[in-house]
Amino acid sequence: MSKDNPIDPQILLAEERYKIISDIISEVYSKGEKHYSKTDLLDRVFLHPYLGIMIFLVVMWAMFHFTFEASAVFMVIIENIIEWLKGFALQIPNPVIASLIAEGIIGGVGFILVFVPPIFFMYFTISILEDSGYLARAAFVMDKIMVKMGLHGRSFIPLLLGFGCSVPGIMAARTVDGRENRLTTILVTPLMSCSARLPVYIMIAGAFFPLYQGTIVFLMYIIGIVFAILMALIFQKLIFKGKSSPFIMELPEYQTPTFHGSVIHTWERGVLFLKKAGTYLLFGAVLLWFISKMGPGGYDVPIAESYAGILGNAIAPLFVPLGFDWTIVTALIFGFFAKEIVVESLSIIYSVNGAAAIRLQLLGLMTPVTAFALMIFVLLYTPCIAAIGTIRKETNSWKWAMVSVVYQVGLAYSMAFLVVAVGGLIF
Amino acid sequence: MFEEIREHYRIVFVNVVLNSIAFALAGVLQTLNAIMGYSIAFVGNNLLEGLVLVLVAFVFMHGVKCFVKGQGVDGYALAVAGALLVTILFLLHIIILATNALGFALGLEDWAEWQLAQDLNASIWLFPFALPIIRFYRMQRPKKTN
Repeated sequence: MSKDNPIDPQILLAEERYKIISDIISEVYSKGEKHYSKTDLLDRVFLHPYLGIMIFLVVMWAMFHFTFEASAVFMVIIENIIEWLKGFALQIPNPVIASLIAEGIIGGVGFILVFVPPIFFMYFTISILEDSGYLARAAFVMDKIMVKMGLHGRSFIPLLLGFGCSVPGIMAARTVDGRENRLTTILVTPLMSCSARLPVYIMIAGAFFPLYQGTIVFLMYIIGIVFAILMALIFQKLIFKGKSSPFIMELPEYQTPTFHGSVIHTWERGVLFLKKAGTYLLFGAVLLWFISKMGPGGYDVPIAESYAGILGNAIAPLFVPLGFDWTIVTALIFGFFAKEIVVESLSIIYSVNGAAAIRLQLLGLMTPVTAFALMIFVLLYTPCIAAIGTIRKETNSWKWAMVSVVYQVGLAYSMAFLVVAVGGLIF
Repeated sequence: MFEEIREHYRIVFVNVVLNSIAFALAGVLQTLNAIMGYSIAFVGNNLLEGLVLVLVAFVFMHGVKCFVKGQGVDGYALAVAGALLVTILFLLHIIILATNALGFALGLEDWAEWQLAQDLNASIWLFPFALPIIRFYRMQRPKKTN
């Protein structure tokens, strides 16, 4: 290895390893008349530099289309059950307890459970792609783009995991070589649209773009990827000035995924969402119910005079240029705890139950352009407290955790403003 | 070189050509439906789905190009990959159709006006065009030359 032409030691190791494997195989195995295997044939197309990317886009579109279109019926069924439970809880004689259970717990956590079908469906498709061996190919195909954009090839895996949840995505950045590459990956992973943002997208897209719901949500994921790449490029050029190192990955053989195996993997991932719903989403719902019912005037004050209203109204002037009123701002503030709480908050603030009721409220408050700006804001701002804590833990520095929060909020605000400004000119 | 494919060359080649034309037409029609607001029956009007169908057509067309240039294995691989994408789109729409039918059967409000014809779009009725490729692929694969 010379100074002028450095070769990554990992490449040398991999080459040596495969040379030994090849030597052993040539001694014990003689070539006969063999057929091309499924992997031989499909990899000629799926790993093609251009066709591979096109096929990846088709597969991603199919995944999101399936997630949102197929889960719609199940969402309505759960919504009807929640509605029935809410009516049942309202019959409790004590009005405070009835309100806490019906509007706080069932209206909040119960409403989030409506989004279990799309989240589980998405995990199911990710499991199928993973079990079939395609996900590794997707990483391989995207590697060239990653390196061109200044990211490390191995950054694709954390970014891909970020689609499910930012926390494991950030933790997976441990495998990325080089401090600068690792930091870049950690900082841009939260821009990948995690499953917690799904309820917000489904809610808004369903209200303002009902005919293109799946397409709009797919677009949000693409925008997330684009911003992750752009920010990585900016971090690499302006702050870190690091070099990318090659991506070495063994590709598994293609397998036909089994229904049983995919269901098990879906459950392993999905159960984390259910645990979250049962713990701090429940805590968030109770807290929100409390501050939206209580105010300086006592219990059951009008929502605008509650502590939630006071908090939202205090910060709302900052969001006037984006067209967000205090109810949206309050929901966004609570969204710092977890993105699911944005929808939960709206349900509690508007004191309504069911997606249709919230959509009606939103239709009266926003234009399609403002709604799209809100989706962009939710996509780009800090995913949750857990993600901030994980960044601090992984970088061992509060500085990088704060950098992550500040740049994401700034980016979210400026991009949402851009959408409103440009949208206002066009529509 | 590539003897098994040569035996059935005509079958695979004709199917790849048919699929490229069919998917290109369906994709363009669906894209136009979405952009211009037309409502051509059994085509669909989702812009991204229209573009997806055009991409599938492009995979098949690339296969045709490889066959014509004598790159049999690549042409065959592209035909199989294209057929696989068609199968994914077909299954996707069958599942969506089934869930919509469930909503209708349960009498849910949003599905009250649902009709079977709404979900019978190009991705479903074009699937039979890809079946011969899938059948051929399941029967035999090309030999490797030493």
